Amino acid sequence: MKKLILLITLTLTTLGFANAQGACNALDVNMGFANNELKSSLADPFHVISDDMQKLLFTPDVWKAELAKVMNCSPSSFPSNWMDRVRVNYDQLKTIADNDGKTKIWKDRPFQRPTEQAIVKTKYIAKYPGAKILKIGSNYKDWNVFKNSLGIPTNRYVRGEILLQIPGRPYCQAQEWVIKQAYKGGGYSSSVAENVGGAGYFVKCP
Amino acid sequence: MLVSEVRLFYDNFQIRQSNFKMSLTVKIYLAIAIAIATAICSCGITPATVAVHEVCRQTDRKRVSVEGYLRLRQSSEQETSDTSNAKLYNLLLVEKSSGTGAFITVSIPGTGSHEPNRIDELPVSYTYNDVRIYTDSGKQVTTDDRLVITGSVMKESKPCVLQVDKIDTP
Repeated sequence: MKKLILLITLTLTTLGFANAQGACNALDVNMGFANNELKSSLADPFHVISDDMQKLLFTPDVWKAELAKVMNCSPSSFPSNWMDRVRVNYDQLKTIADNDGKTKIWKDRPFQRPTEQAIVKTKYIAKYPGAKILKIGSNYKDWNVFKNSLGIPTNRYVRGEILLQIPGRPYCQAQEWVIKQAYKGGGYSSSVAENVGGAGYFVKCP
Repeated sequence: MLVSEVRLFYDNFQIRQSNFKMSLTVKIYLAIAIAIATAICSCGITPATVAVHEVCRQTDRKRVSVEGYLRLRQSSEQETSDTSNAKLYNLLLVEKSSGTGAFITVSIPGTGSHEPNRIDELPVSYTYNDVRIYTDSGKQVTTDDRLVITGSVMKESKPCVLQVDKIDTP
């Protein structure tokens, strides 16, 4: 009887282990995706880096643990060379981010849109708990109206940048925001924050 | 009498010929219309079958079918679809079941009601255990199953995203 219980336990443990290892097979494709993201940030003139890649750059162990959790496998089951696929682009982008974070000066946006900026600030505080908002401004003095081919407005936008410091990031960063109002025959709908957070470029804290 | 009979015959002949000509013209127009409609339908509806590494080489908004295995990303930022209330999840479609080979990003609608060609909404903190995929026939499949994914190639994101509208098994 004891032997039977032992056999069942061993079988279940082996199956569980095999299943967990099977799920780890998303590592290669995720590193391939990460490499594309890093490459894309390197090619960007401002070196805008997604939140996800910022996490990989500055807290790789946190990134790794989160990926392991998604894949249902242990971080210790990752091969020791798990970052090999991204290494070249990782090192290049990290050097640029470190340099920008120490030297690049954020340029104040030329306009202030208090109503829209208040919406943006609320959204950022919700998205990045503990983040400090240091500056904010708009690129547009007034709404930028988009019209269809018949000349009828479809919507209008205000676009700007916010300067903030997010916990876990060693530098300040600027992120772009967009507030949109859709045109509904005779008037515009209420303001919607269309593009809040997700990526930014590093600058020296003011 | 003879003259009137000949005239009647001639008139009837003219009418018949005219009817014949009209029907022939209609037939020609009809044939052209059918040909054009078929060409348009085949372009818009029948997707081209391509390999994973060929998807992003296609033109913007082209519909394609591609086979592979769905994999979760380390982080899947969700957006809301412009055309429905479904959430859109960005997953990866990879060539081999081992998770290696070429891959693309696929955007799949997620709902809470087990709908065909959708995935179930993912919780905030998710693992592979939370992934439930439904094919066009409503069958639930997993990330272990090889799938035929059909959708439109969107080239706004680099290199591209396949906006999925149909999920099948080969």
